[in-house]
Amino acid sequence: MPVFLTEEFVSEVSLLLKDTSHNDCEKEIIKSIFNSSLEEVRLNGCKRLGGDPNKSPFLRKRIETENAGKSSGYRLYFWLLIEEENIYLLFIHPKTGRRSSTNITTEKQKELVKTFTNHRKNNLFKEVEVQNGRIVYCSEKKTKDLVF
Amino acid sequence: MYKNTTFSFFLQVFYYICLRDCEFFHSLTLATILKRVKKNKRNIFYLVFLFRFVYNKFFKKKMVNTISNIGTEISLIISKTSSVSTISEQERINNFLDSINKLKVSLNNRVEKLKQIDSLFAQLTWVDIKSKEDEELIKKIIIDSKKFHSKLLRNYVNLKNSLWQSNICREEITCYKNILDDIEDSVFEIEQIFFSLRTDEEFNNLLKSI
Repeated sequence: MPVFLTEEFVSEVSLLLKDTSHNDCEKEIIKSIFNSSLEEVRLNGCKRLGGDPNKSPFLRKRIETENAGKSSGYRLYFWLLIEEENIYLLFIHPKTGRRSSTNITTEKQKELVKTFTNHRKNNLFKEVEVQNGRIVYCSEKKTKDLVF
Repeated sequence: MYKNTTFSFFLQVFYYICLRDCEFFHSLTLATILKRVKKNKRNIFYLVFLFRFVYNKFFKKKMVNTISNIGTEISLIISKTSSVSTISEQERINNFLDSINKLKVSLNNRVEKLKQIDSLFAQLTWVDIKSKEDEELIKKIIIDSKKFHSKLLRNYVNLKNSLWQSNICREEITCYKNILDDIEDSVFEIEQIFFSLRTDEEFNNLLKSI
């Protein structure tokens, strides 16, 4: 299942990983997105913000952390193209901790839709995969570049 | 009732004594009776004495017997009443542990039910509002869920206040709080998705362009 990221997503996760209370962020993303099937991602507690539910839903997923429940985990905003089986990760924020925030505003969500449209149109998304428990950029190179 | 019982008992005794004497006199002819009476006046005295004895005894015994019976009964109750056996330390510990286990099961069941509700909230977002009735229904769900959450939150506070300090069911209480937070979060999300985001014209236009 191909997974794509935006620069904003990369910078958000990079900032979170610097914080000791959120240094599990990458691990949790791998667990809930990369190690799950499309159906599992779609059905496991995802709320549809908009979009066609059968073709291209815009979703918000609660990511549970090991130390705390879902309520204090992360909120992941992503787009799913069901036919292509592509996932586009757009934004993430923790619910608690130093870099936490409450659920994002309607304005921010509209901005995410614009980002998705723009990135799709201009082919700006970066495809990633998991290698040795880390998220890396997809490339032909033998040693792939770490995303975070 | 007790007095009545005693009274009727002596009435019966008196009745049988009289009956026996009547039977005796009845077996004789009147002349023989008179003869016998004349012959032996002592018998009359005996009869009168017997009657008076029984009569006096009836009244006197009624009092004596009542006190006596009450006394006997009191003595009987006192003698038969052994001290209530206390619960042993082990039994007390077992009862205490049993109630903790029951509470744990009850909290776990509650958490499971709440997880089910949370999952239903997620499912709700996969459908769209198509009519005024749908909209009203979702509004009602949100109102009811908020009330439900407040009620459970009070319950959680009570549980925490009474059990947290004693280190009882801490893990279960934490899970309970986590799922309550999830529910609160979900209700907020549902409200935002249906009545803020999906009603936003710009957002809908952006979605149409994809």
